[in-house]
Amino acid sequence: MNIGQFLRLPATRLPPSSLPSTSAADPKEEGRPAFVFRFQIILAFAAIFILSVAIIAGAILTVHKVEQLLLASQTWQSFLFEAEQARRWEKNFFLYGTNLKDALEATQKAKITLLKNLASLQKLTDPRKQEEILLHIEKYNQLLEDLFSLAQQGRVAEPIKDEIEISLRRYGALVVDDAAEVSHRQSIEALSWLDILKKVPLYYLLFHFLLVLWLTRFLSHRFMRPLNELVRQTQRIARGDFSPVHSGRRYRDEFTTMEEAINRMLRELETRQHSLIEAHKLRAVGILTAGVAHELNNPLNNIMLTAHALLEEAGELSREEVVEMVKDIVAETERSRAIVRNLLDFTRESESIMEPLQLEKLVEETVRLARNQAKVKRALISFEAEPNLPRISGDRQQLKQALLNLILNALDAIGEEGRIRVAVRRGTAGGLAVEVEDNGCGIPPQAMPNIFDPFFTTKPVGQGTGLGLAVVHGIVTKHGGRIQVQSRPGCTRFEIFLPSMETPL
Amino acid sequence: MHTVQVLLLDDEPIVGQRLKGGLEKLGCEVETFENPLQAMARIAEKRFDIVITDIMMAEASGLQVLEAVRKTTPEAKVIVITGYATTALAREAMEKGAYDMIAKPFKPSDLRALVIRAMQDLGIPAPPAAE
Amino acid sequence: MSSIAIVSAEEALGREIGLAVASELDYRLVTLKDLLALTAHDQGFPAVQLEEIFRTGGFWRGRLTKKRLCGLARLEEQLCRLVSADRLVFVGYVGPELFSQISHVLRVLILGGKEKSREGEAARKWFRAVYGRDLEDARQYDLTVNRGTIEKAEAVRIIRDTLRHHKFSPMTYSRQCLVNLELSSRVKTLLVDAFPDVSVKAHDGSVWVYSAAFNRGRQQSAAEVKQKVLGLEGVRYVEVYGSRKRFDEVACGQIR
Repeated sequence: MNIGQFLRLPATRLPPSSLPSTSAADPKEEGRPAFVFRFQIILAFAAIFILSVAIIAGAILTVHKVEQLLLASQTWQSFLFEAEQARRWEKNFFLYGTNLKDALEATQKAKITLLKNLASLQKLTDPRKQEEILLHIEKYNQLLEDLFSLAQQGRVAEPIKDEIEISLRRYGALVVDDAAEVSHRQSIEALSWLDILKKVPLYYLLFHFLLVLWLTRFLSHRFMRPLNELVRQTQRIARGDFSPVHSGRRYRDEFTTMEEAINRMLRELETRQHSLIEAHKLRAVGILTAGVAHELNNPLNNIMLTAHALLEEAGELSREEVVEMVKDIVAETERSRAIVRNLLDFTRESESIMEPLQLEKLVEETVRLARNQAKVKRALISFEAEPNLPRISGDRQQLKQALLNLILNALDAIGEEGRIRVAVRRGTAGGLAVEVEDNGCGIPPQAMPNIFDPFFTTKPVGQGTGLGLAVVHGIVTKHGGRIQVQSRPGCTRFEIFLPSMETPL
Repeated sequence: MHTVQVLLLDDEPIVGQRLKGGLEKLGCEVETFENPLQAMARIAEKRFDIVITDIMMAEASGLQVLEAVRKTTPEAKVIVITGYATTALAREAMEKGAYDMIAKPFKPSDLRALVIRAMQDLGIPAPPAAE
Repeated sequence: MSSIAIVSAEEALGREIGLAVASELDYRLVTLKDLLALTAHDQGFPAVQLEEIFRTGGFWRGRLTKKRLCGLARLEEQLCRLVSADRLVFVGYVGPELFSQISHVLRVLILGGKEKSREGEAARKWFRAVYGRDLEDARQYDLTVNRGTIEKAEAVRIIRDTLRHHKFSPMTYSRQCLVNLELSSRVKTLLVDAFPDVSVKAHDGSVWVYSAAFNRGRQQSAAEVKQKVLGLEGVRYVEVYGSRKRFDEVACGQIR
C-alpha cells in the first residue's frame, strides 16, 4: 500500500477499477481532495510516535550531557587534587625545604590531566576561565621550576625566593579556587539537568495523556459524526425517501465511498419501487377491468335492444322515431366510450412527472373509476370535498393509483352493501388531507404495525400480493406526505396528508 | 280473458322503452318503472303476473324487489335481467324464487321467448302472432 | 333439467352413489370410463391415448404435456354434450372447471371410505397436478357427503332433495353459459393439437382464442386459425390473441 492511496489530491484520481462502478458518481464529490480516514489515524499515531521519539531523544541527550558534565567534573577534581597536592608539597618545601620535586611532579600531572581532556572540557567550561586556569597553572609551574633551579643553584636564601613564594601562593590559590569553582559549577549544572530529567517524564506522561485524550476525541468525533449522519439518513430512507445522500464534507474518504455505495443502492431501490408500482398498477387494472366489463353490459344491452327494435319494426316506425332510436344508439356508444376511457387513462404508461394538480378532481375521478367495482359488491362510495382547496404538486397517475388501492382495499374489507366515504379537506397543519373510511371488518391490532410492509398480507394465499399498502406508502412519501391509519371493527380510516403548493387556487 | 300483467323495472330508460312495444304485441299490459322503490309500491297495490327486473339499481337491489313480489304474489313469475351475471348470483336469484335469469346484453327475442314460456307456465296461451 | 357431477377419490364410492341416484331419478349414468369410451367413439380419438392422460408418472414439474391437453380438451367437449343432453349423473373427477360455470349442475363430493387405495392416491395426485387444487377441497363443491357417517340411502336422499332446490334448476342464463361452454370446447378441440396451450372463450357465437403461439404478431397463422374456427357450426365471429395468462393472474382470478 502506498501513500498515494490515502492522500488523493484533486489532480490525481484513483484508477476506476479500484472503485466499484461510479457511472453516475456525483461530480461535486469527485472534485474534493481525499483525506482518507485511515490516513488520519496513521497521522495521529505518527504524531504520538514522533512526540515520544522527540522526548526520548531529548532524554537521551540530556543523560549524555549529564554524563559529560560528571566526567568533566571528575577531571577537574583530579586536576584539583593534583594542584592541591602540589601546593602541599610547595608548602612543605617552604617549611622544611623538601618535596620540591614532588610539587613539580604534581603540577605536571595536573597540567597533563587538563591538557589531555582539553577538547571535552572546552565544550562545557567557560573558555576564558579555562584559559585563565591554564595560564595560571603554567605560571605556577614556571615559578616552581624557577624555584627548583634556584634551589639547585643553592640560592635559596635570596629575596627572590620570597617573591617567588608570594607569586606561587597567589597563583596556587588562583588555580585551586578557579578549578574548584569550575568543578562546582559543573556539578551544579549536572544536578540541575538531572533535576529536569526527573521532572520530564511526569510532564511527558501528562502531556501524552492529554494528547491521546484529545486525539481520541478528535478522531472519534471525525469518525462518529459522519457515521451518525449516515445512520440518520438511513432512517429517512427507511421511511421511503429515496433522495441521494450528501454529506458535504471537505474531503473524500471511506465515508465518501460508503455514500456512493448507498446512493447507488438508492437508485436501485427507486427503480425497483417504480417497477413495483407499475406491477401493482397492472393488478389494479385487472381488478377494475372486471367491473368495467360488467358496467359496459348496460350500454351494450341498450344498443342491442334499440338495434333489434329498428330491425323488427322498421316498416312501422315513423322517421322521427327511427332518428330517435339511432340517436339513442349513438348516445349509448358514447357512454361506453366514457366508461372505457376512464380505465384507459389509468392504464396509460407514463413517465413519473410532478405537476400542479387539483387533488379533489383527481380523487373524484378515481372514485368514479372504482364505482364500477363498487357496484359489483353493491357498496356505496360517497365523495365530498371542501371548496377552494389549494393545488398540490404531484404525479397524477401515481396518486390515482394510491387512492384506488385504498378504495379497493376498503371494498375488500366491507361486506355486502357496505359504505365507503372518501373526503378531501384541508389538513390541520397546512396542506391537504384525503380520507378513505369504510365500515368494514377493521384491521386486527396485531397486524397494524406491519400493514405498510411489503409482502405483508392478511389475505389467504393466492389473493392479494401484499404490495398494495407498501406501494401506497411509497407514493405518499415520494410526494413528501404521510399516511396514517386508525382502525377498529366497523370503522377503518386511512388519512393521507399531502403538502400543498404555496399559492392556493 | 285475462290480460297478462307485466311490470318491467330497469334503471336504464331505454330498456323499458324498447321492450314495452314488443311485449304489448304479445298481448300483455306493460307498466315500466325506472325506480325500484316506486315499483315496489306499485307491486303492493297491484297483482302482476310477470315481473321483469334488473338487479343493479341505486335505490334498491332487484333481489329486494324479487322478495317483495314473492311475498305479495308468490305465483307471479319473476324474470331477472342483469349486467353483472355470475353463477353465484344466478343461484341466489333462483333461491329467492326467481323464475329465470337472463344476462345483459340479450336479444329482445330471447326475452320475449322467455315471457311466452312464463305465460304458458301460467296457463295462459300464447297469442298466435308471437314468434 | 339439472345434472349431477359426483366426485370422489375412491372410485367405488362415487360409482355406488351415482348408480343409486341415477336409478332413483331416472337420469343417465356416465362414469369416467364410460366417458373415455364415449369420447373415443364419438370423436374418433384413440381410447389408449385417453387412458394415458391419467398416468401420474412422467409429470415434468407438474406441467401438462401436450398429450394430456389434447385428451382433456376432447373429454371436456364430450362432457359439454352430455350435460347439454340433460339428466346426467357423471361420476368422475375431470371437468370441475366446466361444472363450476354451469349453475344447474349440482357438484357433489363423496368422502369417507376407510382405506385409501393406491388408485385413490393416484387420483388425488393427478387432480392436484392438473387443476392445482385438492380433489377433496370442499370449497369447490355444492354438497359434501361423508360416507363414513352417512348411509347410502340417506346420501341418495340428500342429493335428491338438494337437487329439488330451485337454485339448481336450469335457467336461461345457465343454459346460455352451457351453450357458450359447448362452443368453446368444440373450438378448443379443433385447435388443441396445433396449439396445446390454447384457451378459448365463447359468448353467443363470438369466439376469442388465446395462445402464446400468437404472441409477437404472427399474423399469418392467426388469420388461418380464424378461418378454421369460422368454419365451425355456431361460430359467428372470431378474434385471435396472444397469451392470456398475464391478465388472469394479475386480476387474481376475478375475471370470469
